[in-house]
Amino acid sequence: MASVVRSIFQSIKEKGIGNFLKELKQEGYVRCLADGNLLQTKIHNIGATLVGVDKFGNKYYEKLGDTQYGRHRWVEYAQKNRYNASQVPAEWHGWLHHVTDHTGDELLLLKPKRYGLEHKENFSGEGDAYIYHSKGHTLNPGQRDWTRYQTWQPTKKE
Amino acid sequence: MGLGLLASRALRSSRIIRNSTRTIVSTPELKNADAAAAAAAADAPSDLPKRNPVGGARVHLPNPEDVIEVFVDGYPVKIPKGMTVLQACEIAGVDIPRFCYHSRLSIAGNCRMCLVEVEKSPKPVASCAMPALPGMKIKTDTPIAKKAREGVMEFLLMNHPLDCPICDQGGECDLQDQSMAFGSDRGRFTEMKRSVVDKNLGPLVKTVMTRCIQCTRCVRFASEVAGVEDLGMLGRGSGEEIGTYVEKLMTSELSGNVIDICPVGALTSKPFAFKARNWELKGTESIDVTDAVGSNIRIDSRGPEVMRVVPRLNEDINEEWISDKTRFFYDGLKRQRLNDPMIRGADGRFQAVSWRDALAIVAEVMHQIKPEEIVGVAGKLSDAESMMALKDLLNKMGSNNIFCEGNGMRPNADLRSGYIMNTSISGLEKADAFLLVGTQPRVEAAMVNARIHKTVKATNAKVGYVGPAADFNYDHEHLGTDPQTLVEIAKGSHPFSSALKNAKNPAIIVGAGVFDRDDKDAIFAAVDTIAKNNNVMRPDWNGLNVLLLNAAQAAALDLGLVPESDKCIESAKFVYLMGADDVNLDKLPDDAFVVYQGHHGDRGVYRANVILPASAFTEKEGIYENTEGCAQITLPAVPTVGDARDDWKIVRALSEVAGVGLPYDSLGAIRSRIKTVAPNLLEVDERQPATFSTSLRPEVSQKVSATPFTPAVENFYMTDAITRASKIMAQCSALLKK
Repeated sequence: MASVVRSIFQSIKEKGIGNFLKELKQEGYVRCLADGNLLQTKIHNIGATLVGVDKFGNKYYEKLGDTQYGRHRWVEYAQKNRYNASQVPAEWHGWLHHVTDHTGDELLLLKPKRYGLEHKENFSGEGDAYIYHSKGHTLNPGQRDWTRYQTWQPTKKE
Repeated sequence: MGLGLLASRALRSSRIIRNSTRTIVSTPELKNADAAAAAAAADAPSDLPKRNPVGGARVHLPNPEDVIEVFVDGYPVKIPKGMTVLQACEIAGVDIPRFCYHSRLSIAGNCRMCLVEVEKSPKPVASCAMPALPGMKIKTDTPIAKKAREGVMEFLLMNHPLDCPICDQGGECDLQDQSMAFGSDRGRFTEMKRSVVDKNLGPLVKTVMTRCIQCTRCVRFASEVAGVEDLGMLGRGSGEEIGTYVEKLMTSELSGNVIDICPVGALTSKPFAFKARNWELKGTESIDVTDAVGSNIRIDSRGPEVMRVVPRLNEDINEEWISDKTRFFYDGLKRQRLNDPMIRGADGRFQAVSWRDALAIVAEVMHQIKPEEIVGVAGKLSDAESMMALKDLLNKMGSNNIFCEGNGMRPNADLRSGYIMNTSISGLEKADAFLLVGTQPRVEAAMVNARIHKTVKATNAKVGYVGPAADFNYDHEHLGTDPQTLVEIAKGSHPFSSALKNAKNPAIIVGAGVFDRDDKDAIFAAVDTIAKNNNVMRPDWNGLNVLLLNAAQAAALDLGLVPESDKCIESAKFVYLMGADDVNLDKLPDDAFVVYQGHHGDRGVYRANVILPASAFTEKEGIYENTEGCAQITLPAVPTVGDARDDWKIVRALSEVAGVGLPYDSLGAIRSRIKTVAPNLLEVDERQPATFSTSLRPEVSQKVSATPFTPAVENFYMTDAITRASKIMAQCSALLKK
């Protein structure tokens, strides 16, 4: 605990109080007062090694030793107010879920150029725009045409 | 005395004792044991439940001497001599599984599925190929018969792919059905399945030859019914396959029927491939209107779409076949449809308007025009109700210029025998000499042609043909190309005259293309002379026929749709086209107002000023009379498109707007109006022969011209608005028309 307080004072000394508070907010320390998950992640982060940061800014931590096996890898999401598991890109997924020991940065080198798609997070439940409507649904903008016949076009003239 | 006999004696005596000891008996005669035993012996066969022939068929025993009796599962059945064991079983009400046997084709006997046990026969016999003999004891449900069929089924399934889930025949497949009864639940076959290269039979029939079980039904159909030797069997043993010998398309107008007769999914419909499953479809029993035959069809629809057309059994008209045009034109019903009333504006562009506006304009214009300048033309797909309504409307407006396209401007509607097929289509089978005058039945009425082909094949009937060079699928003599040949035959100076003279039942078929000729009366007079000289019309045989082209023609003539003047188009100021696309409007004055009422944007709309959208025959109920004078009814299978309405309702609404309301506003009422004009049209599904013969025709002084006959149908696949809109038919005419 003492080391934590020491490092706080050190960074205030380096950056000045204004910048420190700004960074505190950006890093989600203000937010974590209301969000228990985030708070727990922050507490967990103490003494852990930062393995990598992906292109979205998600931070991947690992802590070996006294941590329970299976809880020794975790992610701190870049977005502090709305985060979910789909924000983890494919290359980091394997490392995070103990599928592989290669980190995302290593796996990124293997990503096929031709068909490797850009990662997209899942926006389900984030408003009407993101709700899936089938092709025949009235709310689908590209609604399929259910007319089963083709009309004669009067513009054609002999 | 043997032990067995002793035992039976003891048993019988004990039974008597038991009977006599019973005090309460409901049937006192049973007390007399001997009499009861005798009665039981006499009643034994009648103990079996009454059995009816498969499919409710009726057995016709023409000659009482030729009747034999066989026993099917112990049930005695009387059949005419010459029937096969399978037919005897069907009459006894036992359905024998089969693949290769088809009642309308020759017997092949190669699938072996119809094996039954016959007493005193060492092995199970193939019932389809075995003639029934007097007193034969046939057993169809014994373990031996069942085991034999299971064995056959196992061999058939050996090389049959397991692709039922993606097969179009799935759900209506004979092999699928019968494997439910005789198939094993596991296979013993561990080798590789055989595979066969698919053949390209053209745009209509899709082949998946690996599924073929070599029943050869299609081969027999092609050579026996369709009359083309296109299909055949190649190779032997497991290398056996159906094919066209060399890479070519199947060039028959009846090719679609191989889809129906194929018991598996080897031959399926190409346009229908992967479109629907047969259990999703709603079947509507209707009538085909693409030619004058009036083939009985079932329109299979799903929701608002016609998915396919399949034939319905009618022995008198189409047996169980239909032509390719009938089967595959249905995609035309979904294209080029008129769905809104439209008015041509001052700039020559059409604009969609409401029914109220469209009818108001038509009524207004109609009143501004002199009655004799109003002309009505019924199209080739019009039903009797709408033609009746249109005629009544024009008559109320004071005009009598109404005709049906294809009937010519001077039709002879007085004698019904002068425009229908007096022999009837099935009656053609009794003819032994044909004279075809200016008609190519193969393209004009494929089902009539199939009848003639059947007759020629069965009896070697002679066929003489007068007309332009044409394609026939049976032996014929081309006598000449112009009507002069008819005069020669009438005089008796032509070699074919003797063939007609010697014939017992000669049949003359005149094509409806003759109606458009100037010398039509002279041609009909020459034909009448030939008929008189050759005894064509007798009380028991009327061989003088007219083969019509369009579904509406016969009903139009029955209803008296005859124009007052044959120059009415030239002087018309208002033309009401009711689905008429092929009427020649070149001579129509430029200031004439044209109303087109119809379901397709075809040739007729380009000259129209107002378009009134109507329903196609699949969407309405209507009476159509076919070329032999049999009235039949179409039923609505799918809803009408857009704002379209039934033809007769449009005419009725227009009469109301024009202030000359017609006195009927329901289908029943309009039919009772028809009853006063042509009562035969209401005798549905019953052929009404003509009462008076053509001998009453007046004398004509006209001379036949030397102009050769012209083909009445240019393109078999595209004859009317619906078929011209069809993509499949366009494909067919591009690929199959030589």
